[in-house]
Parts: sequence; C-alpha cells; structure tokens
Amino acid sequence: MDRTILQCIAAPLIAAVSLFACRDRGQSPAPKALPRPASVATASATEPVIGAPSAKPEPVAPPKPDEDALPEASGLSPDRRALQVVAGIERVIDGDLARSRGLTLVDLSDDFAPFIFQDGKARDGAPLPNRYRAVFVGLASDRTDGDGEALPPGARNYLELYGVPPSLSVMRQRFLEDAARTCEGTIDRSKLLAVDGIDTWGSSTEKKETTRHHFRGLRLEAAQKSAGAATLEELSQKDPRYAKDVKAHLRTDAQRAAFAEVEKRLICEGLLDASKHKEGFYDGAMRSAALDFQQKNAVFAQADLTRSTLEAMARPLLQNDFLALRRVLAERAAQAGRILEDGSAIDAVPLPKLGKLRKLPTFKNAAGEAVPVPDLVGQATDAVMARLGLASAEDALAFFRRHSDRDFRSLRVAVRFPPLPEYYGPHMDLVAEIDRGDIWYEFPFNAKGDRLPQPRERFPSFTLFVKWRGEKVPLVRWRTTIGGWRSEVASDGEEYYRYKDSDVGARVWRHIVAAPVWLPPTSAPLAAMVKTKYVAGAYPHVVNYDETGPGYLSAYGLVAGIHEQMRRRGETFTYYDNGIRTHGSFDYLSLRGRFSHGCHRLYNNLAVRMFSFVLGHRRIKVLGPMALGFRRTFYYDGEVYDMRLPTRGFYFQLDPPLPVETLKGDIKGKLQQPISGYVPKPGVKYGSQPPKAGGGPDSKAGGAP
Amino acid sequence: MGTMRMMRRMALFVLLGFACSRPSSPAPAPAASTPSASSSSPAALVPVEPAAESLSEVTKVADEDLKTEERETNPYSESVTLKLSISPPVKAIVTWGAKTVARVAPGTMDADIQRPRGSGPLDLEIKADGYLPYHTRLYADRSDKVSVRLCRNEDASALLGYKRSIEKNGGEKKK
Repeated sequence: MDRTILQCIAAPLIAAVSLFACRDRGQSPAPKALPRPASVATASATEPVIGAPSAKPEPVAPPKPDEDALPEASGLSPDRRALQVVAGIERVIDGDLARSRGLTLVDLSDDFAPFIFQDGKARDGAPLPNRYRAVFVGLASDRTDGDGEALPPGARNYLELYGVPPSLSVMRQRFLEDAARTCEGTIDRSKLLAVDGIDTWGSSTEKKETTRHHFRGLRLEAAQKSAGAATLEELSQKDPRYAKDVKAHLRTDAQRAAFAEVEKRLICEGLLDASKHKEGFYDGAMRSAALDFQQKNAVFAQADLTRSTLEAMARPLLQNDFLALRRVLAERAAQAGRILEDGSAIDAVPLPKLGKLRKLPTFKNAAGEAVPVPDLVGQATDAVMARLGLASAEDALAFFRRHSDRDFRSLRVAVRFPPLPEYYGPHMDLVAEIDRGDIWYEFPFNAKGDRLPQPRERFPSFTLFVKWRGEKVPLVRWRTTIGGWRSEVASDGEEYYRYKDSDVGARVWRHIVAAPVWLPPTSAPLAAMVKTKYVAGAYPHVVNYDETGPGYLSAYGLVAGIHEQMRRRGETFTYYDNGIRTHGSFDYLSLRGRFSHGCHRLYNNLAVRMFSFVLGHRRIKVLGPMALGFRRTFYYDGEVYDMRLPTRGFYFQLDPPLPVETLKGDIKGKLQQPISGYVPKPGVKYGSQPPKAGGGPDSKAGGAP
Repeated sequence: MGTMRMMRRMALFVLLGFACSRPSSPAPAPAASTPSASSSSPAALVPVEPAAESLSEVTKVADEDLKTEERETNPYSESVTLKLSISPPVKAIVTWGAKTVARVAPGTMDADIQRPRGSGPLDLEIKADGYLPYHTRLYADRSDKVSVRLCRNEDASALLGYKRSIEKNGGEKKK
C-alpha cells in the first residue's frame, strides 16, 4: 500500500481520534513508528551500556550502511561540533563537514530561540537586540519568569501550551526525576479509563454533591435490600423506577474511584503536595496540580478532569515525557529546516463523497505530475529522533543519562532532512487565507437571556498557500478564530453586547512583530490592571503587564502579523490598519470554537512556527525594536500606578507585503449584515438608550486579539 | 504559587474582554510607500484608492508611525543603568519589594541604579508624606530612565480611574 493511500485512510481516523482525545491538529502529531518498536518505559536503575551486543538470540540481518554517518572528529571548537548516533554509539562530528554534505544541524542547545527572536543587524551593521529572546530562553529553561526574573528554586514553568517548549535540560531533568518515581505500580489505569471524565465543582457545590451521593446510596441500598436484589444493576432491572438513580450512582462511584487514582498520580508525580490537600476533594491545591499536569503534558484543558487528562494520567510518566520530547524536537526541527508542512493541509481538501478516499493536496513537479504535499515537520522530527537513536522512552532516558546539563549549552545534531519540495525557494509566492466558516449575525439571546441555537458546521480556518505552477498549494490549514458577539463597556459606563466583525477581503501583511505589545483601552477594568506580585522579598501591588506584553500572555501572543488594507494612488501605496491581526494566543481553548473580537488567533507555537517560516522564505527588512513610549498613569485603591511600555516589539518588514485574503464565509440565518452599535443585555435595566458606538477600528474588531 | 497562577489567569480573561477594542498603538497619519517589485506582487489584490469620503467610512486610517528605538552604546553590556527622577522636591523613599533602593530629598531627587542586564524589571514604589504612593517600573533589558511626578493626596480626583475606584469603594477613599 503506498504512502498516499495510507495517509488517506489515516487522516480521517486521526481527525476522529483527535476530536475525542482533545488534541489539536496543529500541535505536534503523535509519535510515529520508529525503526525500533517503542516500548513502554519503566524506571531503570542501571545505566545502559551503549553499543552493547543485543540480547536477542535470533540472527539479525546486517544493518544497512549509514550513508550520512560522518567520521568522529576531535579537537573541534564547540561551534563546529555536532552529534550523531551511529549504530547505537554517539560520536562527535564536524558540523561544517555535515553541512557540506547536505545535512541539517538541529540546535539542541538550551540557548535556542525561534527565528523570530533572533537579533538583527541594521544596515550600518549596528546590532538590533531582540530583547524577548533572553526571556524566551529563560522561560524555556525554567530559569526565569515572564518578566525575566529568576524563578524560585524548584519552580517549573510548564509553558508548552503557551508556545514556549521546554529546553533539553528541562527535559533531561524531567526524565531523570520521573524515572526515579515508582508511580506505575500504584496507579490503577483501568479506573482512570473507566470514565469519560470526572465532574468537578467549586468547594460548596462539591460538598452538596458529596452529601447527595451519600444519601442516594443509602436510599438505593435500602431499596436493594427490600427488593432482594444482589446488585444495584439487578435492582434497576427489577424496578425500573430506580434505573435513573442507579445509573447516576454508579457513574459517580466510578468517577470517585478514578478521582482517587488522579490524586495518587498527582502526588506520585510530585505535582500535588499531600499535606496541602484534603483527600477526596477537588480543592485549590489539587486543581492547581491538575493544571500543572495538563500543561506539562500539553493536554488541552484548564484543570477540568477531562478524558484526555485521564488518558495522559493512565500513561507511564516516561511515556508522557517521551511524547513531550518529540514535541520539543518537532519545534527545533521546524526551525532548523525552515519548514512548515505538518500534514494539516489535508483539511484544505474538501471532504469527498461517502465511500471515496480523501486525497492529499498536491503540487505539480517538473514533469507535471501531481505530488502530495508532504508532512515535512513530521518527517524531519522522525529523522532527528532516529539520528539521536530515540525510538523509545528508554532510549531517551539513556540519552539524558549520558549527557549532563552542560552538554546542552551547545549541543547540535547533524541530520539528513527530507528533500524540500520544488516550490521551496528564497522568496516563495505565499498567500494566506482566512475562511470565516459559518457565520451568524443574529443576536444570540432571546428576551429572557437564553442562548439561541446558532450551530456551526464549518469553523474558521487559516491556510497558508504557495502559488506554484498556476496552482495554490496549501501548506498548512489550522483552526483560527473570528469575531462575534462580545460584551463591551460603552461610553456611558454600561456593559452592552456588540458584534465585533472580522474584516472581509484583500489585505496584506507588511509587518510581522515578534513579542508585540497591546495597549488596553482606558475603559479596561482597573482591578485587572493591577496585580500582586512577588518582588524582592515582598508582595506589593504592581501594574499588571501580563496581557499588554511583551510576553507569551500578551493579548497578541508571541508574534503577530498586522492586517493592512493596501491602496494604490498612482505609483505609491497607502496602508490602512483596521486593528485586525493574525497572532498567537495564550487562550488556547478559545481556538476550539469560541469567538475573538475580530482577530485571527493561532496557537502560540504554530504562530511562531508559521511567521518564522514566512520570514525565512520572503524578502524582509529587519527593522528591529520599535519605540512606543506609551505611558498611562491611573488611580486605584488610593495609590497611583504608572504603566510604561517603551517598545512596540521587534519588527520585520515584508518587502513586498504578503497577500492575505479573508473569505466572507457562509452566512447562516436571515441577517446578511452584522448589527451595528450596542445591543442591551437581556435582563439588564439601563437608565437610558445605549450611546452611539464609536467609529474607526473601535467600531469593528479594533486591535482585537 | 498555583493559586496565584490561576488568579492571574482569571484576571487575564477579564482583560482579554477588552483586548480588542483598540489598535495596539496610536494611529498616526497614513504612510505612503512604494513596495519593491516582486514575483508575488500583491498588486492584483490592491484596489485603487477610493474617494476621500468613502475612505473615512472604511477605517480609522492608521499606518503605524514606526520609530526605531534609541540605540544603546553597547546593547550587550553586562549591566545597565536605570535612572529615576522624582518631582516635586520632597523627601521620599523608593522601595523595590522589601528593599529600599533610594532615599531622595530636595536637591537630590535623582536615583541611579545599576542592575545586571536582563535581570528583570524593577517594580518600584515611591512613598512621600502627603503624596499618594506611586508605582512605576524601570526595565533592566536596556538602560532606562523615567521621570515621575508625585500626586498630592488632595489632587487624586484628577487621576484616571479615581471616580471608578471611589464608586467601587462606596464613596470612601481607602487612603
């Protein structure tokens, strides 16, 4: 069976599984079969012997010659050294020689940062420092927080879902610590996997629910006794009046049993301090530990005990670490190869009729043949894993045991990457397209405030195409967001609903901004503009810069492309900014069907990957850090706060700009245009009519993340 | 730490509700430029400029007035100098968390602070009798300077947010 057909079959399966597993398509794909069978890792106390003869008694076919294996080199300066694992044995080779042989050097150092965070040089040769780089590296290495301040000892960042994958040193620490734990024998996986999720509540509701469950149990026990039923299931059959209660009771029992396993797992994994937790209750300590677990393992949930969380908890610790390592290496591979294709482009192909196989998108080669768009990131990651000899969690553990933290100061691996498709070049004819999907303009609430059904089958998507031999070839297609109905504080101080539209039509990206800054409007709630923060031995109130950025929590994420309307007058062009951006987002759950205020959000790691790719394959000018000089002084709770934002972010200019087309989508319902202005919230009494909504970008999406 | 993280996240979601009502920067006049010729010129997507009256309906016109940051002599130096100037001339204490970093008085209202480059911003609090406590930030990823003007207690009503803060506290000033 050829690869195309395999992928055709696999793609819908993957899509279906991902729906249930709550994994995002854009995130790193599941590990693929590697040359060696992936075994489940268990803590191994003994140091593996590299290159030791196989214990298998059967004769093994002689290995194929490794054409990319380079001779061992010694006496090289660190910047020339690279690593290869050849026949299970590590060797240091000459990086320059590797490059001359067409190999790619993948940076495994702790000092790694994506392309968008590299320093630049001005035309006169002066350095253009990319200041967020140091913060990114500090975050990835668990050395600093989002401000660049040192983390307390033992603190972990767990920021992969925010676009900051852990460094290799952090992965090393994770492997070594988890290998020393003995969780596997203590956790009952079957109990974790017996439920679809575990209901959780706030503390007061949780107590009520626990009491309710207790008394329901007593009632059912009495009924079971009087009915002479051996089990509750039998009671349910004998007297159907109890069927609903029995079902609910058994479901809760199963959830409570799973909950106990979750507690054990979180304590065993070192995420939950048992002394701060009340057993059996989903208290703050446990909620926080669950969130850490989810963020450590890239589970898309916010402390809810979802099915995907339980599945991750049912896996051995090292298996989860191995999956995380693969995701980390995928980002490194994508950056090293300046590649983007991750297999998601298949979603750009319309679904075929029932019974037909979905075809992969293709491009024309020189012979005019249709060639499938490859999953380059997946293939490159496979190549990195194979070259490092990482076929299993055990291999990874052995790798980290034979390297010290110091090795990751400058480690690189020399890998043969898959050949680049013909459409690659220094200046690719790229086009971005945003399909708004299904749109409802009607007000989504009735007079009582109940939400009206506005079903969407097609969700907004982002596609990056390359124009090649007369065709638009999709490279990636990811979920994104568009604007919708949002709450907004009007000039009268009241809160109304307002439709925040996403611009339709032809736009361009002229500027891409790394670590962009967002300015909150003066109407933003002041309580949210101030926070308590640990500062040099005290917890004073300080201005909250989390969402303004620059940073991974910025409303514009780690990187943004500014949508501009480009108009021509004679030989000159004028640009208009209506406040719309395509940008990364910390609010990763919003990409699963929620609305933005008009902007097109992407997962932070994908935004970083995509914009790095664009900058690597277009003519650009590195403008560097742009001055902003923003300052806002405000009063809150008897004190004065001075918000200072000296920089807009690190700017790149695309020359020429890159076309971006936002499609209208399918308008559902009767309204063909959005309602303009404010709409009173149902059930709220207002003193007067809503004021007129402002014009300009504010009237539309306006700088919306 | 986990609870703090969750509280911070909640605050972020509140702010995010507002994060879309303004462009990321002030909107100066539109800029005109000529893009270089290209194999992928977006000219095909470019409409001819419409009449002025219809433009005003299209957008609040804004091409960012980009200015490069002032260059540092050595952007990779080990340490940076942070300068704080306070007015009016009064006795004041400048603290960074639990540490006192400067005491100023009439005649010496400036404070210079040396910090390792990239060691994180300094969130400072300035306290002076008769004035509202003042919070500001100096950035240590570059040499930075800031001038602050303290606000007398009785002048608080002129500040942004005073009215909202007082309404929230039921008409009572906390300090």
